[in-house]
Amino acid sequence: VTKATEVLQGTLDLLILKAISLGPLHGYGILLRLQQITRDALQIHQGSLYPALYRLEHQGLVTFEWGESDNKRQAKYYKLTTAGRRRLREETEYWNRLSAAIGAVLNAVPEDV
Amino acid sequence: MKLAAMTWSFLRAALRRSQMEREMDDEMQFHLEARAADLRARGVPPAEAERRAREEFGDMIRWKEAGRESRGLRLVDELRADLRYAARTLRRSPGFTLAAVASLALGIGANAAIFSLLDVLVMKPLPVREPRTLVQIMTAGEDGRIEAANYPWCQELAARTDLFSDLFAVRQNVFKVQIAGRVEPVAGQFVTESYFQALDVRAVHGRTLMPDDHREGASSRVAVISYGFWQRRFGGDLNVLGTSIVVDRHPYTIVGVTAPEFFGLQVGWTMDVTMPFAVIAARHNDPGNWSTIPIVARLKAGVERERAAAEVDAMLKRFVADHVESGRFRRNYLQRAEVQPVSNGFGALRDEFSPSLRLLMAAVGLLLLIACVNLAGLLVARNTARHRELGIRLALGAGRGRIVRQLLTESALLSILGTVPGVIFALWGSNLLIAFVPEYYGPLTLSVTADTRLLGFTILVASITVLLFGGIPAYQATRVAAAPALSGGPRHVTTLRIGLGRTLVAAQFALSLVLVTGALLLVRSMMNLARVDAGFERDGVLIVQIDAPGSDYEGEKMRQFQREMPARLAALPGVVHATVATTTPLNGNENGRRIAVRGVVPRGDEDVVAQVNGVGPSYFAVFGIPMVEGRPIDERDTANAPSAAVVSETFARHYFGASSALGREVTIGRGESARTVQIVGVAKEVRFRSLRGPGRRVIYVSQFQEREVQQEYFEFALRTAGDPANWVAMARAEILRLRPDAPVLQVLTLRNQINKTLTREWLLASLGTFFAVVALALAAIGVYGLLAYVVARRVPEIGVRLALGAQPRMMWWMTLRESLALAAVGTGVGLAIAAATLRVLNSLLFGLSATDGVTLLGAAALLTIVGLIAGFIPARRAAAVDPLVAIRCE
Repeated sequence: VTKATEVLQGTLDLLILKAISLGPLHGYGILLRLQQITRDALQIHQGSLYPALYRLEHQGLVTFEWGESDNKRQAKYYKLTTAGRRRLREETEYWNRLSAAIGAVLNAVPEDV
Repeated sequence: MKLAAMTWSFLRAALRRSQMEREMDDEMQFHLEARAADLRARGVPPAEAERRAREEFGDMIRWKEAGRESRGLRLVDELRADLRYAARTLRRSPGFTLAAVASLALGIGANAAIFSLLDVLVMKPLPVREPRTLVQIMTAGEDGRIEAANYPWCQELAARTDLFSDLFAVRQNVFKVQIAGRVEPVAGQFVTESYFQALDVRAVHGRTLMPDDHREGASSRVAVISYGFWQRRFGGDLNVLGTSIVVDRHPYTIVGVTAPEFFGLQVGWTMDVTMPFAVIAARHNDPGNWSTIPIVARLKAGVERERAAAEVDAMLKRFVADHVESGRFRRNYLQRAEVQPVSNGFGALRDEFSPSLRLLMAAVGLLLLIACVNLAGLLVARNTARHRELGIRLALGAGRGRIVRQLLTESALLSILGTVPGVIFALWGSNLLIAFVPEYYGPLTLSVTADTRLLGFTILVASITVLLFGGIPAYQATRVAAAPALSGGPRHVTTLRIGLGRTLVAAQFALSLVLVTGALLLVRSMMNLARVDAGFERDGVLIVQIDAPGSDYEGEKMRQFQREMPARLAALPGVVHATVATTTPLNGNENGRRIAVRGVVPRGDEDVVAQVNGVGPSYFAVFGIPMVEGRPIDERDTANAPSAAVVSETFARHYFGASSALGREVTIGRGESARTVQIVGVAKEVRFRSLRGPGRRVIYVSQFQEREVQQEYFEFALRTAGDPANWVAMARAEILRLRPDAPVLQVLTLRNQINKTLTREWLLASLGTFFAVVALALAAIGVYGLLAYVVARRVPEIGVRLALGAQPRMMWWMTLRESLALAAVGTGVGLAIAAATLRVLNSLLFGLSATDGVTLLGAAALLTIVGLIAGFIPARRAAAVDPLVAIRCE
């Protein structure tokens, strides 16, 4: 059994943005999608999704509307705003640059120096 | 963008709180159910599925709290709790709350009141288009700056379209306006062509003046009236257009009504009638003759005021060189031109009252500071009493910032409670003050209303006070160390804070002393003015002011009126003497004329001018002015008798030194109208223009021998056998019975006339006294609060002392001594501050200086007495401590 990695501080927001960029989701749906994409490699405190969602909503990055879920219940569906989409793009670029840089450092062998 | 979103989200969450909570509930509930359903689908038993869903979700209450926090709601929740707590605390000590709210209401209210007056008089921009680009063009010389102009000068300026986009001139006056047979004085103005266009003032009804109205010799005379006048005199009748009104005996047709907010350019004085300048242009066509005609211009875009000023200055110098003969007027007023900003209107009222208002602003600022120091002291004492509670809260893990915030909330609540009655007090008070402004210029149209400027000022002041009186105590309160507060008695931690309390009370005494000294100085100066020998008797004289311009009292009709009326008035029961005069003491009029004293070579320009007063027989008897030498003007001095004159002491001394003035000759006037009079008497010096003096060079001539004395304004004066106020109605009725059309302006006692010249002094003295009394009351509260607290803290100590044999009287003295020590220290510091700062009052004071020793000592004594009285009750309490009870408490 591979051990689930704790989500890094501050990256949960980015993950949520990415999850709902693929289509509107309710809170539980976001959890499912994240688990599905990461194949359960990341451990997410389920309840912590909600403060994060409210924070994103507060910052105007996501918005929501009420819709009907698969089990015929009213649920809050979150989707990205324009500002959210821009933020996701910026954060993604930043992550890519950062991980490439850190990867390069960590994979360095004596010959490279 | 982000900020807007956050504000919006915060407001939505805060205002629709219950909906937000419900949504949060629903959402999390949905999550749990969906998760449980998934688990069930994988074969987990229902009860187990629900349990696991809950477990995986984590602490729901914690996530909800975090959710609220991420919307910024935590602050709101805490604030709400703080407010509830503060309200409860304040309710528990109603005495403290009442004292605090009352002193804040007075402090903030007084500040708002004076600010609102300063604002309407001095700072508020005119309700016209772009007031900031308006400038006023004035002339200046050795005697200062005046609004002098004539029509050719205006036209020359108006031609400078390279400097000014608009330029207009205004001639203001009080006119006799006749509507439906009744004549009344109305403030009005003649304006040149671009007045309304330049200011962008529109008519709400009809039209404003058009270029055609301004052509010289226009056949029809038209007038625009103010909204207030329209409402007042025509009841807002829409048919007013086309109505004819008679202004100074000339008919004008009303063509429009201006917008309600527009009052003209003179703050406090609404121009009710506006007419084209062309009507009077011919009177001001001589470029060598200058009258009071304010000129206002709008600077062309891109033109600096400095550049315009330089160009206009050069123009004036050329103009004056070409057209004005050299002499006193030219040297005193026409040496240079000045271009001044005029965005808030020109204001005679402003010039007269703004120094006083600024002084009052300083006084109320000081008062508020005293109130704040007082409250800070009380709060320090109270927080010390609460140190146990605060210690517990710190020990339980409350942050210091959190506690400071809570204490500040309490202060803010106090401040809000004080501000609301304060603003009401301010509106009432400032309008009351306006009622005291004398109506020199016809009815005043000033009023203070609760506008955004006043509101903004008040909020600013209230916020500053919160920080001032709440900040120090709140900070100080948290310096308590949690452990000793819990373990031991209070004594370990209080010494420091009693020290702070003492400093605050002493500071309060010092500041109060400054205010009290200032008030005492103003009151004593006022008393000096009331007592000063003015050279005439202030009591028992009634004045009837006649204002003839615009009436048909002219020439022989006027002379007859002046001749016969004094005799008729003197025949009234209880009237001892009656007379007529061009001016009476302190009525504000000047009548300077060119003179030449035979045998005296003038040493300078000043020597050829003196005040000339045409008086009837018994003038000197009516005013009780004694003769120093010779005889007064009397019945002998008829129109056909040799021309006689009486001169003032100052006149005699100035021209004749020690030798007698009797028999000397003086020529009054120049050229054809010149006339020579022979001095028959010297009258005692009279404070003619101001009670502050100095003596003036006055020539009294017989009113009936004067051809040139101004005939349009004059006064009748009566000496009555009792309080002249009782003759007001009788005198007016008698004049109107004999002459129903007589232009009587006002009937008033000489005392009233004098008091009008003392309005400013009276206002400053009475307001100053009021503020000083409030400051003294606050000082008393401050000392009392501190000592009451100190005594309560010391009860065990006092108990021990008493048990060891100390006399109760010693405990009494020990407490009172503390109060006296505080008063002494505060007063000492205060005396130094007062001596250094109250110099600004010197120009206002009469008969004493700002560092007057008696006044300073008096103020110090007053404060010491207050300290004694306030210390008395706590001292008695200290003496009454029962040693047994006190020690048992320990």
